[in-house]
Amino acid sequence: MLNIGESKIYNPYNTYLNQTGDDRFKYRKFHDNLRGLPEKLQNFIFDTVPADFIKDKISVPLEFNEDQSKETAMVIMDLILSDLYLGNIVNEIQNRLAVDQVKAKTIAGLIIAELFAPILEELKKRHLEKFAKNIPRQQSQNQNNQVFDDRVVNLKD
Amino acid sequence: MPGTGMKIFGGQAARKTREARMEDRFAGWAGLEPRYKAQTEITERAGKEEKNIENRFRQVRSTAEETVIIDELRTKVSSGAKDPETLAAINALAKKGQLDVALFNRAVDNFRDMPLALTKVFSEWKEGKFGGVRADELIPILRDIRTPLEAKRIGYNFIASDDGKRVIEDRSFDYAEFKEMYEILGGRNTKDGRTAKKSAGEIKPTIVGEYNFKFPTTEFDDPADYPADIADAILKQIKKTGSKDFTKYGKDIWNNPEFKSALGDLLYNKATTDIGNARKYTEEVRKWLIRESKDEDELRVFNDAATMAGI
Repeated sequence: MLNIGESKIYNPYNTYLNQTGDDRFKYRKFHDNLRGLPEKLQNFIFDTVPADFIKDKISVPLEFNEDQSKETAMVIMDLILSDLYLGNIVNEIQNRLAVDQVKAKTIAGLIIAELFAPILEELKKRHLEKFAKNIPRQQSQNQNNQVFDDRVVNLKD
Repeated sequence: MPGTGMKIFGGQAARKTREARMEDRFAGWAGLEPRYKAQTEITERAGKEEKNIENRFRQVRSTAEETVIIDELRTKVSSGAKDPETLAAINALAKKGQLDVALFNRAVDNFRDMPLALTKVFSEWKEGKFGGVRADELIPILRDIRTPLEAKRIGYNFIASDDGKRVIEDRSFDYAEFKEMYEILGGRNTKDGRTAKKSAGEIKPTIVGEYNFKFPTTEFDDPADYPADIADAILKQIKKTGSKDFTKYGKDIWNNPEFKSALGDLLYNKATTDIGNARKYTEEVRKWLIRESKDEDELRVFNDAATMAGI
């Protein structure tokens, strides 16, 4: 559970908002994208669950610093907005959070299997619509198998 | 007063009569006609004629036929005669929500010395939900010195109702307008006054807050409830605002510095009392503003206040 002042670190909406700074164009684009989301995804974003999850299930156990926690929140928002493909989640986490592959897989597993559980079907549908045609068939199949079947991401790794 | 034979209170109808007679007396002193009796006669005859018009409307079989009657009534009103038929035409148009400002002004010119007749027009107009006039047109009509007091009450009661909230939402409905409405409806001591204040407060907490700050002794029993300043008065006003109600606030509210300050205090108080509930409340407000607000700056103001409050 978050304390006063911690939303700017763990809340995906707040971290994304802070990143837009005074750029009105980015601000507008971000909110237009949010407006365009289905109600189910909006309800998910505008809830206390994602921020609490990031803090309690990821940042604190893995001893993340503030920047890593913020980047985790950003990755989650990127995925919800379909700015980042679910199939690339492990690589993205590894690069953006500066963690090794084992940790990246653990985090990806937690996000997909637990945090995204109530919205996973909706996300899959949107990501397939947006990314499927841009990914080579073989790669797409491999990545879909790897990411969309949450059993493939070994949480024990 | 038992035993005296005098009747002091007699409900709304009696009050209307008293006021009409009073105005009649003034008119008499000023050498103006017609007297109360003549007014009642003309309104009664107009009432009969209005029933005939209503029968004609009931018998129409198409929109085109209805339009013909409406055009005929408009022509009648425009002619400017001061007879029961013209008054009936005005009332029928009002009831249909077809009385526009030009026709209304014509009616006021014709019947300005007949408050009973004009009040009847307002009753019918309210039934027609004041169709035909925009919010910024209705306000000057109600402020017009020629508009009878009872007619003003009818108009302001309409504004306080769900159908009339569009008037409060309009930019032209400001502090002065609220003060006029609230005081004409009897202020805190009447049900109408309290309803008007509640309706205005839900849409424009800034003007109701300003009123509470300026008139604390009439608005609060306990001096402990007196607002310290306007921002504090607004804070008291928005304290119980539901998360979705923020979408009712117009741009003028969000840009108001005292409102911004009150909003900051509201969120800070919530955060320091129960951060969990404060976060839930904040996310709910954001969600509704994303979904329903027309202006992105509203969310910006809200986010700034939430950040300052540490939420």
